[in-house]
Amino acid sequence: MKDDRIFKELLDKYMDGALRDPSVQRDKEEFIRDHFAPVPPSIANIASVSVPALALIALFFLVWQFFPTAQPIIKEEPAFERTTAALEQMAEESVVVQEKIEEKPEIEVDYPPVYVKRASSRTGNVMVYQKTMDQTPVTIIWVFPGGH
Amino acid sequence: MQKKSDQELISRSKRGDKEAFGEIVNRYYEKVYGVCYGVVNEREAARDCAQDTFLKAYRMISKFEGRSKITTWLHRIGVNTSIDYLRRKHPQIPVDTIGLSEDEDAEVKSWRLEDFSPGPRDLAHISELKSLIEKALQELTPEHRAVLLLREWQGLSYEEIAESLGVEMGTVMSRIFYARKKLGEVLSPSLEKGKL
Repeated sequence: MKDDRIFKELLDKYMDGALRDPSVQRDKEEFIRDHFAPVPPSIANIASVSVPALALIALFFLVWQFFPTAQPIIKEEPAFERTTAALEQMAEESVVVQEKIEEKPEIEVDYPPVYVKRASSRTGNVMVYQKTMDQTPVTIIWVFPGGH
Repeated sequence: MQKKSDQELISRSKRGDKEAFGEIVNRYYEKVYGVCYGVVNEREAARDCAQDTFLKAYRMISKFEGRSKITTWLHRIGVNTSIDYLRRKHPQIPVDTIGLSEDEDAEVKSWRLEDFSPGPRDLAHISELKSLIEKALQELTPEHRAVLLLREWQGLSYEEIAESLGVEMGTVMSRIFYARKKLGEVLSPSLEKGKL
């Protein structure tokens, strides 16, 4: 019986030594990774999810790009016609302000041509006047620094 | 995170969840590797047998009914895989001569482990203990080594070993008796000399 116990202890030590070899853990991790790791999403799976999402994003940007030019035709045009009298009154008031600006020393600046696609102001010293698109596709903007 | 039960992992594995079976591998790799190593006594062969054991187990998981512990089932596959490996390596050997004749005939000798041929990495681990144990294990057939390991190293009961190996309990007992006797013959001289 005593020998049996010693044999068991020797066998335990022997097996522990065999299992302590770093290659055992390394082989185990590699084996699990190669055969039983979670399946990464395939390209097909990614495409099936991302393509519709990208299409939606592209559609959003497309609409966002065209919306400002389309907006006057679709929605804004009637509003301008209804408020013409008010806008003309504001334009007259602006003349006074413009005279004040002329008192400043002139600075010669070669301004590059400016193309305005869209302008808006909820509050502040900006006024926008636009003729109906079918008459003259021109938008005029007055900016009054310091004016009212 | 709560540790999942073996039963839950088995159920998920049966539904094809590889990751769940990976957790089973993670839990029991060392045990299976140890049994395989004890039987074949070569690091690379033990690794191949252990990994083959898990691949077979995954393929057959739907047949596992859960009446025994998963470890019992894995031990059985591991021992059989290791013995098959040795048989392939020594095809001239008859399938079962472990009738445990204690006569050391040529056939039984050829079943035994080859001499230990350490590589550079193994040299660091060589000790008198290791060489003595290896010498003792060489005196046993693969079936005896398997029974001895399951009993002495894994601490399984005779019933569990019988279930693991698919043999009668009387066979298990006789193999253990024989294996201990052989170990005693090899190790006792060293014990008497106080080497161990």
